[in-house]
Amino acid sequence: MDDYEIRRNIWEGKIPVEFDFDTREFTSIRSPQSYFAMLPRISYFPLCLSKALKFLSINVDEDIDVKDVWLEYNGQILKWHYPIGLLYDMYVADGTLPWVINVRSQNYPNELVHPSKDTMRHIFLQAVKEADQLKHKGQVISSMTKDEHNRLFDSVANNKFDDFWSVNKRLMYDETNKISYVPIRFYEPGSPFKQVLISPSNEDDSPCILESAIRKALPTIDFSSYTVISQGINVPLNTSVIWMARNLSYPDNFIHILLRKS
Amino acid sequence: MDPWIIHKNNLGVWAEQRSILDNFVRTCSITYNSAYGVPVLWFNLYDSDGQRITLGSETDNTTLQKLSVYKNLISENEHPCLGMAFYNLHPCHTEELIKLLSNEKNYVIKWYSVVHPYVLLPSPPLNFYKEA
Repeated sequence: MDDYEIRRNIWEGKIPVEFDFDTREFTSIRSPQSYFAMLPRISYFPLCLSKALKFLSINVDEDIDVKDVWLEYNGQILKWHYPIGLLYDMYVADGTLPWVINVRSQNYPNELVHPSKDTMRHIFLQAVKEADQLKHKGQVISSMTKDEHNRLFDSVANNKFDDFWSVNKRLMYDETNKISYVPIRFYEPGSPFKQVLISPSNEDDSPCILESAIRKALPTIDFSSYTVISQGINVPLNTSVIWMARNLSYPDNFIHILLRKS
Repeated sequence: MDPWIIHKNNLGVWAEQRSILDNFVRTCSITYNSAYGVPVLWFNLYDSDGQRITLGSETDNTTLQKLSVYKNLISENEHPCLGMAFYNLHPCHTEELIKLLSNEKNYVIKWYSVVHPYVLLPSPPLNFYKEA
């Protein structure tokens, strides 16, 4: 059931990003006005901006911190509490690379969460706890220390696969192999995610497949007009959701499924 | 204080209420979290220019200072139906606190009595629980 290579590839997936500093807002910026970086799909923008902002600070002779900026692509505010890979799959339909992102400093959007490390840590751990609530009624996460919870977040922030899995293996695999519900969220671009209770098995004990899970969340969906993507991959509709939970989850222990109109 | 209004969209049901608190507009929202099976209270404060207030930052304002006392129970996340940043009292804390109130049979009254001291809510939308 578990494939180490898949988990490793998912963790190491990266996206080349070009951060363009908006010259109407960073008026004192010297050349060059952009910064290139390879960012982990499974991480979050506020945790990956320090080098870009250091570069920017030098170029504008001012200390620019993550709380002084926000990110925009194609006129869309990037919800930076979502994983980087999910945002790319959501907004860059034609797969263009590098991903050119506009860095803004004015008019911080009211609807955007603040990028402090504390807020990112909290939102991430909220998702991890909720995923365990769905899988194990919260029994595994509540048996862990606060230090272990923090290690889950810190290992994502510092890109440490082994540190992460030393804790996460308890959330992901248990002796009984029984989970109550599958942690899964369904996204359409421009909308908050839809989350419903998805059992790992059908009434006849057959494993629940992705197609039935999507139908439960979006009963009127017409699959012929959608592409179903997770972790940058077109996922076949007959994929077992338990398999996906074990192999295609993001570090927050959720499967994030993007439904894009084709 | 405005009354609670029940809203519905393709993502779920929520109850919303607006009031004026000092010079701020406060929007409160109650959603239902199906994973924990508990209601969740969300709120935001906006200044006179309609800008959302950042809680926890340095302030001379006494209302904001009072709220920052509860900063360990309050955090930021995305409102599940509106997709916008709100502050909330997190569901896992709600569950712990409710277990302590074992003598109250009405679940919503129980939850409300826990939440009320923190955010000074008006009368609860009792029909919300039926809808959600």
